[in-house]
Amino acid sequence: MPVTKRYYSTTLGDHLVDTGKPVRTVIRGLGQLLVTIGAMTLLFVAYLIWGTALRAGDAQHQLSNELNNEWPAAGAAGHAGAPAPRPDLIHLVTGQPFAFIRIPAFGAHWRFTIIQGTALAQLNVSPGHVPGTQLPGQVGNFAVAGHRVTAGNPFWSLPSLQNGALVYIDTKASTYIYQVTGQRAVWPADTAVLDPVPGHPWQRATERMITLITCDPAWTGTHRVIVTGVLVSAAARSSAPAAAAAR
Amino acid sequence: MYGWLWRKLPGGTGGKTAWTVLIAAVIAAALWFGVFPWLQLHVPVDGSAING
Repeated sequence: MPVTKRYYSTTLGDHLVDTGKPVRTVIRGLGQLLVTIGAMTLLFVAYLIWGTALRAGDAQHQLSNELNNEWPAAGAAGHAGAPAPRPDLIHLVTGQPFAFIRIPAFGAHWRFTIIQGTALAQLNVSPGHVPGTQLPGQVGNFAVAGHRVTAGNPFWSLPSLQNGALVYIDTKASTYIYQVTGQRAVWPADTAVLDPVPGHPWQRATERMITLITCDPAWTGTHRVIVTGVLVSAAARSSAPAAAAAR
Repeated sequence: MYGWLWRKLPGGTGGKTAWTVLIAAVIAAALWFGVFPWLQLHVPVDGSAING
């Protein structure tokens, strides 16, 4: 294959070199800058996908251990499956775990801790309990938010959850089972979905609800998708440590 | 920018390459462990909470 080399004619070439050099230096510098920014952006995307997942994975490991060390083994207090012995005494500290969430529809090993708070600092390590909403098993609305993408994508599959699916919440004393009753898209500022009776801030709650929240569409902050459910069972905690061992 | 850097780096082609890799690795690590965790808190790639 013939290689063509282009030489500028002396006069025109000299002219080009003289006035063109600074221009070309600037253009070259700009090009290199853009390539550099592009490479850094790709690295940031890689961080969002893998870096945040690694960080959250480590945090999950630590938070799970914290709960498992703090909780007596299932069945120590009463036999597993017995009626919940007493109301759960849950001490809420921002960033601290107090429960596990398990959703068998997402897989037998799908399990995350629930920590107190839903600021990014909390959601980056674990799904979080929305402050001011009720606790697991209480009358009213127990609201949990989680990332759909980044931080290990805990709530990636939330929108695919069908009505009737079961959501297990393990606390120190109890296992609460909620059954999914519906899902819808809402605005990020739609705090009415957090009310004890969603949408009716002044009504007295009679139902024991759960509301799971994540972003929608994925990779955006424009909407939220919420999945609601009602409590169908409350019993002495049965299986969290077993699931932990399987992890 | 890179031409200038390449000229400033000591050593022959091998040494310059080694320095380039080292510098790139240091910058990447600074971004990954320092800048990105901070940046992620300020870029709304995944808004999952509900707040008024």
